[in-house]
Amino acid sequence: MLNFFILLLSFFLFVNGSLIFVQPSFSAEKIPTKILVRVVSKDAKIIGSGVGGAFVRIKNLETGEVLAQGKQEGGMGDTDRIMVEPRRRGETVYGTPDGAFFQADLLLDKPTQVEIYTEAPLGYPHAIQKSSKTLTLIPGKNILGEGVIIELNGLIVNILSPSTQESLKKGEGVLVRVEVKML
Amino acid sequence: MTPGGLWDANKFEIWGHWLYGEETASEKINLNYAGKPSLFEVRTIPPAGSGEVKLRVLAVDQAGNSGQHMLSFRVVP
Repeated sequence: MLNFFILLLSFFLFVNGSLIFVQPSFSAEKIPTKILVRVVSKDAKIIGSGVGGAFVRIKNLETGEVLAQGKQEGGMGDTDRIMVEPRRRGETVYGTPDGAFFQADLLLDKPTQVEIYTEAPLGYPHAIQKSSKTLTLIPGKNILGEGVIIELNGLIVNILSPSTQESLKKGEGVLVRVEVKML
Repeated sequence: MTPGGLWDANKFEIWGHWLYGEETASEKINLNYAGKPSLFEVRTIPPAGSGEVKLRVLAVDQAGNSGQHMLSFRVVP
């Protein structure tokens, strides 16, 4: 009986000791952490340089500090992969060599809750849409490959004619010509 | 964006309105595919009256996307 109590006591001491002494091993050292962000268009492809790219800002949610910001540039990605072929879990859809992205190299000393904010397409200010998402970044745990995907809903509608430089004649017909594109 | 294409022009609704200020000054004007990818057009007559008039064009698809563009024009007698 005494042996049983000694064993039980030892067990509790061991468990408590473990909880006290085994802490998460994040020190004051800043650890390089890469994060790749990809801004895409709903029912279309990656928002590329052709429409002016996308603005991306990564902010520390706790302190408000902007950790990185910049522009997503590059191509729209592989049309077949994104729009045509069936997808299997884990397959590369956006992360092809010509696919636009924004990558930040951050220095983190602890798990950090961030907000990733984006707006696009920068080439068409009247068509800009915005979105954001939050996530926890862990020092040294890179997010690459497909990256963090942020999807924007919207269409680019661009009146090409008539031009605002010309006056319209009262009672006269005018040809209205418009370009409509995915973001 | 072409008729029957990957982004089917027939599945986009594209229309416009003339406006005086914020007030609609015309019936709905539907734009049609203009024969080139992503281009749509219509011939229309600006509303009677001189001065500044606005043209607003809107577009919507079946995937939850929409957009608009509005420009101001001067109508002269």
